Amino acid sequence: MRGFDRSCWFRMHLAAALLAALGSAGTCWSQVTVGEEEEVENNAVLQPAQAVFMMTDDQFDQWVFGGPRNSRAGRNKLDSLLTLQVDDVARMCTLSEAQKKKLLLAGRGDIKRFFDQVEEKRKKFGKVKNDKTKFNEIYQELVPLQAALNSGLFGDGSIYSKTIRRVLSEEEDARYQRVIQDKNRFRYRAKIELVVAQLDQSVGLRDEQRRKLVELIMSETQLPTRFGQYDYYLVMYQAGQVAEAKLKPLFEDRQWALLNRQLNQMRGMEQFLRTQGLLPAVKGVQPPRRPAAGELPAEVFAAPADVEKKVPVSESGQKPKS
Amino acid sequence: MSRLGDLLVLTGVACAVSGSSFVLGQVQDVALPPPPAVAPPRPAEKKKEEPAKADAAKKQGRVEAKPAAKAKVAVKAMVVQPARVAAQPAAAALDAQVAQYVRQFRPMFRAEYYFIRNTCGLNTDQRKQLARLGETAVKAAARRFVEAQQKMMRGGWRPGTDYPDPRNLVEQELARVMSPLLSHDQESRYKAELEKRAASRKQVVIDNLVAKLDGDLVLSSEQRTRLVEALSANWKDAWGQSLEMLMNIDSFFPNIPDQVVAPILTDNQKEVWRRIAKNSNVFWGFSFGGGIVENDPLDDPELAEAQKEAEARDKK
Repeated sequence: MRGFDRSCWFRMHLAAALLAALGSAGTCWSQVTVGEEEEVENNAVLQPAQAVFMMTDDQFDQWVFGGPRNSRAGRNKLDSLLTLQVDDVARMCTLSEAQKKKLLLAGRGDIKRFFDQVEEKRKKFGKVKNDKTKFNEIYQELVPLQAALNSGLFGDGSIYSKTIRRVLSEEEDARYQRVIQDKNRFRYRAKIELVVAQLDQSVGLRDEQRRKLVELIMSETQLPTRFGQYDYYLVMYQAGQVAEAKLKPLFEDRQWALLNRQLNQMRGMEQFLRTQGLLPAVKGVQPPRRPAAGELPAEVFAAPADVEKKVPVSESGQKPKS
Repeated sequence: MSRLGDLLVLTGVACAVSGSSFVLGQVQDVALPPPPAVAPPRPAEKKKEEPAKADAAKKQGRVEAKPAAKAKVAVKAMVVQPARVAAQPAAAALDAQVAQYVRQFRPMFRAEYYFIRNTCGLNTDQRKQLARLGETAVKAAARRFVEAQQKMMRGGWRPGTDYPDPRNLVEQELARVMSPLLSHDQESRYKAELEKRAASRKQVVIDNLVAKLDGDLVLSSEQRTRLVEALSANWKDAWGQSLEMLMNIDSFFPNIPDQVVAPILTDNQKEVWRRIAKNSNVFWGFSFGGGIVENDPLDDPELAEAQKEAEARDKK
């Protein structure tokens, strides 16, 4: 009896333990399954949301003003730039307070004109921000605003530049123009050096070749009318305009073959660069219609794979949030 | 008492069964993401390490393991086994990653090849050898790059750590193996050109940084000159980690300390300088040089031959 009791107890406990174990296993398994089911359900809920095309006002600001900037940051930047421009003029010529005010007022006029255009586009954007097809059109209309912001609002044709000619005497204006030329020359040289450094990464130039190439492009080509995101193409196009008789002797045969192929790709970009306002317009020629991004020469997108904007990666290997 | 013993045994059985099912559930759940990529030691290092361990064991007189010790080793082996199983796919993943980077590093070697060819005036035989050495150097550089990258992703990055420059890695790996290939005169010309290229690259970066600041701060001619001097005197390689950064300099500006720039600026300029976003933790990747085409018909045939040889070796 005692033996029976023991085996009975044992069996009962064994049965209870196995039931408990199976129950918990079922729970564990069901956790996994339920998790999967929830995921499927969540996906099912998310799917219709993904189909909705929706752009935010922040994105509009990012496209116009660049990176994380918004409209206010863009305005601050332009206000500061105007102050510094007037300071620059005052460094060379003695400006009265009234003259300074005139210049500031003119610059603010340019800024206002710019923001009026931005607001006009913003309204248009508000109407099409849920429409993917129309949205592409508005994006192309924003490109000139980005270009204007990048290359500065106070250059040729601005109210500021017209006012400065009235405020300064002829001699002062000539001096100021020289300062501007120096600035542009410095910037152009830096861009040429950068492009030559990039070429160096594909054809392996000697120091003498690098130096001579920079000097040749600098001396044989025109200063650009403005700078911006297409500087690489501009310099390459300009380099392609240098007479072959001057360029070719700088290189070994193999280098020249590789380099000339790149220059050939850029030689067809004149019209694009002129419509972007990076090259002076040719007199007597009707300015062509500004092409949309999809109409650019194929070379613009195909040739320099190395200057395509990359998404930078932080040193920890993560893409930056911006 | 005996009932208590039974109860304990059964509780143990229950825990074991339920525990295993719980683990099974966890495994099924955890098995979804890929195993963490752990960089294994290089094969060459492994080989060196094993005989070294054996030698040390011999010296300590532990060559004949006692049965108890053998049993311990067996238990250890069982414990270590899963780690080894995980390390194998990790090593394979690393190799696959290295192989991908080899393709991206090859154009860098190609530029280096032409640089050495033009600097040293290599003959056909030297060109062949250089092309072959290049294949080895590219692999070694790619492996070093991937290992450094993984180390950073595992939390090895600290503020101030520079991301490895792929071009430098290729250059270093080549410099290690290239010496016997060149004559004394060729080698000294090569070294001199390397120095000039580094100086030129630094100047390009400085000029472009100053040009960017000129656009934002409207500098005077004298300020530009002083700024060029200041940047040159306090130079850090990380300021010019890649040409892409300079192409996109309106969005990303290196983290140049205030004390280098601010003393040169007016008060209004200082205010704008402080607002310029500076980035220290951004890696710009690397460029492959404009217009580079794989298996370019314009390339030296030696390059294509060496690449074919290397690929055939890899397949074996």
